[in-house]
Order: sequence, then structure tokens, then C-alpha cells
Amino acid sequence: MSVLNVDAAARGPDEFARQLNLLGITGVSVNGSWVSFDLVIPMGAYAGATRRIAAEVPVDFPDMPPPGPHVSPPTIHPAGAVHASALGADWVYWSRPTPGWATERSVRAWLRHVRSLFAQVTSA
Amino acid sequence: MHRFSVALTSVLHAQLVDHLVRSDGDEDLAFVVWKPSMGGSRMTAVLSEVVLPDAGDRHVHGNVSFESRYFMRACDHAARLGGGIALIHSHPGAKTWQGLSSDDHAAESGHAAQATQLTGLPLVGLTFSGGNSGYSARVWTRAAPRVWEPQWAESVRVVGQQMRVSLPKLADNYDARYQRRTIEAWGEERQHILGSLRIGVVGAGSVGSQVIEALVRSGVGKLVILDYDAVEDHNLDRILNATVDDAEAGYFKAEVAWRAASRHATHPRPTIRWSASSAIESEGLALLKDCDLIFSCVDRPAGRAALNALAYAHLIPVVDGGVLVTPGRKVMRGAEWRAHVAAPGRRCLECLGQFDAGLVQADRDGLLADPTYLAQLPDDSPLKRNENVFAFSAAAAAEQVLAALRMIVTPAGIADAGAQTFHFALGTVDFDSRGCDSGCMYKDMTGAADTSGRPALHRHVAAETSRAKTQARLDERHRKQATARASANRWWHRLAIWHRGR
Repeated sequence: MSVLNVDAAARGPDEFARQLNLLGITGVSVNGSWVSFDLVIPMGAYAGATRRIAAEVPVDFPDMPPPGPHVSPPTIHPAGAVHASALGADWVYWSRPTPGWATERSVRAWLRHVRSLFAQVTSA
Repeated sequence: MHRFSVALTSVLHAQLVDHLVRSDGDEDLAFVVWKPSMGGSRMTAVLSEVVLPDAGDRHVHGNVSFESRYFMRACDHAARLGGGIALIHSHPGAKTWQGLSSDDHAAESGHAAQATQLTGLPLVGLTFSGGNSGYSARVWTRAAPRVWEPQWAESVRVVGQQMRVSLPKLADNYDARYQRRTIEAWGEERQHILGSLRIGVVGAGSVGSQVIEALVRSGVGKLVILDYDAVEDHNLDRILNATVDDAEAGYFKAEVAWRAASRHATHPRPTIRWSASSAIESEGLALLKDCDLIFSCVDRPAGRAALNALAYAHLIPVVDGGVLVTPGRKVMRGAEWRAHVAAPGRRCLECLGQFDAGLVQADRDGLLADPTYLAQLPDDSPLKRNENVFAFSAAAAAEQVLAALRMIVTPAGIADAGAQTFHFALGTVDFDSRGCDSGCMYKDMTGAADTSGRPALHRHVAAETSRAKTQARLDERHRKQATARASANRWWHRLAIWHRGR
């Protein structure tokens, strides 16, 4: 079990934010079911840049992951599946399901997924 | 008042048998922690952990008695786990559902108030029948100041690879006129059990409609049918008992299945309900928690994830399956259908790959009904595959029903043949008898019932959209009918005036 796996009582957006803080992620903000934070992009065309990422976190996180990241400022993904975001015109929604969630139910796994998506962006 | 039942795993049952069945033939007892599972009309006490007596905690002398310290230790342990306590004692030679002797009544009623006070949950009493390894059970409720009365359980189910059910009486659960050949096959006792079970069927489409038909013909009488979709023209090649009229009227699939099941039921007093709710909504979940067994005839992840949690946390076995067709460009390449049971000791639906947790929230949000979302899924994703044929659904439905019957009837003593995958082209069957993967979340929540907080309630956008669309269609139909009636009335009125004028 990962150290980020939590007891059964800790669930939902607050638990998502707690795990972000444990990982040293900055700018973490919780607003209802939405959790947003700053992410420094490690690879791809935006390597080194900071993006604001938001997740609509289900109440039963970490049983279930958020469906996909919302990204600000709006950023195109080469594989498509980029939609208007419920957060407004400054955001886009990358509707990409997290693979292999059953093997690690944690924010770390979800961030790995988000970073993989950014790594696929090879031209800005 | 809620109805009451008790559930336990076959592992816990084996621990109790080990403790309660003594070589000297004396009675024995133990305290057990239980967790509540509250349905819409039934509370189930899910037994989760036996608190064995230490030396001197109880005295075996033909009959059996216990020290106050054992009772207090059990209450304290249960309270820390968020559960209540059950007192179980044995009747070594008994082979039937046991009542309460005056001594038993005094022992249980005398501790009912204190157990309730210390744990916040009522005392549950059980009697173990050593002659058939069955149980009787009751919950103690306050009838008046200092007066506690037992409310008897409608059943006690032991869930694992087999499902064993103890019932208070073996009467009125079947009508021999309609079930003679069936009873000749597996006997009266199994027929009584089938007739007593409350069974949920989630999804009344191509597979679900045929599961329902098989169940009511087999003597199942207590049925709950859930489906939020309406019958449409393109369903008519696969849904049993649905007609062109149903599609034109836009009836819910669950209502169509309910109508047919009510007509075809062979149980002497069928009680069949339907609901256009989803398994993750409050109405649907409450109905399902009232069930002893559930058929999962859905192909979406949110429903399957919720049912998987019911199977383990609430000990309600879930019989699942599905059909996957591989069309090919010109010539069909093949098809396969699956049948398996999710229950403690068996492989869960997530470990079987029957749903992807990563897609659950998207399903709840209605994205899996959104073509732009589906377009970005891989071409081989089961979520993009809708091909199906009546015969494949019939085969899948039959295998699901057979998997359930195997668990209850235990032909040749076999309750579990493993998860099965049937191949249309080759006519072969694959078996998977593995348990859950290590670290499986569902296995870890076994018997936790409501204290697990699972399955959680959610909005289900696809269900809300479907109900709104169907209701608008039914409202429009009613409006047209009312307009037609008013028009006809006007004509009759004019005709009557004309007739009087002549």
C-alpha cells in the first residue's frame, strides 16, 4: 500500500487537497467539489511552465478518481477530447479517464496521469 | 417498522461452527459484532466479527451462561467499531428454525437495554441449530418502559461460494400446481428458498428482461426491477416481452418487464416492484439494500461499481455478466458472453475487469451518453460497442441465472464453477476461479455494511435525462389523448343535439 492511501473515513475533495499538500503541490484551493492547484509541467512542449489545474472530485474519492483535468489557461491537446469547462472561458476540460486506478487510488496516480497527458503535447 | 434479516460470510459461519459445535454435545455461546445495512423497508444485521470468550467468561454445563465482563467487553469492542452486538447460542441437535425458551428469552431481553445503551444499536439474538448448521434470529426492540420484545428475522443468509438461507417457515413459498417439474428437479427445500428470496434485477434490457422471465417462471416471487431507460424501436430485436406499442408509447423498460413478470409469475403471492431509478440514486439503492441477491444486467461502470460494493460490504451477492460482439468488416468474427457472481470469497467485478474505476465519475456525469466524449475512447472500448443479438442475450441471461441457481441449489455439492466466458465461434468456455487481487478495495470492505459508507449516493445525469425525456413523452401522449377525448365529446354532443332536433 502507498503511504498516500488513507483510512476509510478520509474521502472526497478535502482528502484530495490533503494529498496534494502532502506532495508539496502549491496553490491548493478547495471550493465545494472543485480542487484547484498549480502544476509545473515536467515534460513536453510546456516543460517548465506552470498551469492551473482543477479537478471536480467525487465524494467517494479515493475510491473513484476525478474524471479528467480542467486546465487554465486553455491548452490544446493533440489527441483532442478538449471540451468547454464548467469553470468558464479561462479553462478547458481534458476528458481523459485515469487508467489503472484500481492499482493505486491516490492523487499521486492522478497527477501521473495529468503529467502523461502534458508529455504528449509536443508542440505549443 | 422495518423488516429484519441477518447476513454473514461463510468464513464467519465456519468460525462460529468451530466454536459452537462441541465434542461433548453441550450448548455454547459467543458474542458477535454486527453492522447495520439499512434498506428502504428492511434492516439487515451484517455479522462482521466474533468476539470469542476468554477463560472463565462463560460456563458450559449442558446449558450455557456468561459472565457480565464478557458482555461488557463485547459491547465495548462493538462500540469502537461502530457496530452492535449479537448473542448467539447453540441448540446442538436442532434441525429447524428455533424459537426462544423462557431461559433464552430472559437472557436476551435482560441484556437488550444495556446493549442498546452501550452500542447505540439494538441487541440481536441468534440460535444456531447444530443439526443442520442453520440459524434463527431476532432483534430486540423496546415495546414499553422496561419491556423488550423480539422482532423475528425473515431470513438468515450465509454468503460465500454458496448461499445458504435459513427461513422461519417453509410454507406458502411455492404453488405445487405450477412448480411440479421444477420441484422434482431440485426438491421442496430449495424451492422454498427461491420463493422466499427478494431479488433485484438492475437493467431490464436485452439480458435483464430474460433474466426476469426465467426467475418468475422458476418460482421467484419477490422481485425489484430497476431501469431508467424507455423502450425504443431499436430495442425490439432483443427485449423479451416489449412490443411496438411499448416503443411508440415510450414506456420504461422496467414497467414493461414488471407487467410481463406479473402475468407470468408462478409464485402464489408475487410482489413485484419496478422503479425508473438508478443503482446510485437514493430510491434505487434503498430498494437494492432490501434484496438478498441482485442481478447486474447493466453495461455501465457507475452501476457496476455500486453493485460491487453491495456484494462485499452488504453481503448481497451480485450475479453479473454481459455480451461482447466482434462484428468484423464483412463476416462476423465472433461474440462472447460472461457470467459470474461477485460475493465474498469470489473475484469481484473490478478484479474481473467488468468496470474501470477511471470511468465511473464520467458515467455519473452523463458523459458516457455524450458522443464527443465517447469519440475519444479507444476503438475497442466496450463502452463504444452496442452490437448484440437476441440469442446472445438469451445465452448470457441463462448463464447468469444458472450461476445463481448453482450457488443456491448446489448440484452435486458444487456451488461455484468460477467466472465463465463463453465463445460463440468456438463453442468453448473459459473459467476463472481466482479470488480478488491483493489490495482489492472491495474485498477489504467485506461485512462493513453502512459503516463503510459504500456505495455512496450520487446524481446520475443519464438517469435524470432519460426520465425527463420519457416523462415529457408520456405527458405529450396524455395531452394528445385528452385532446382526442375532448374532440370526441364535442362530436357526441353535436350528434345528440342533431338527433334531438330530428
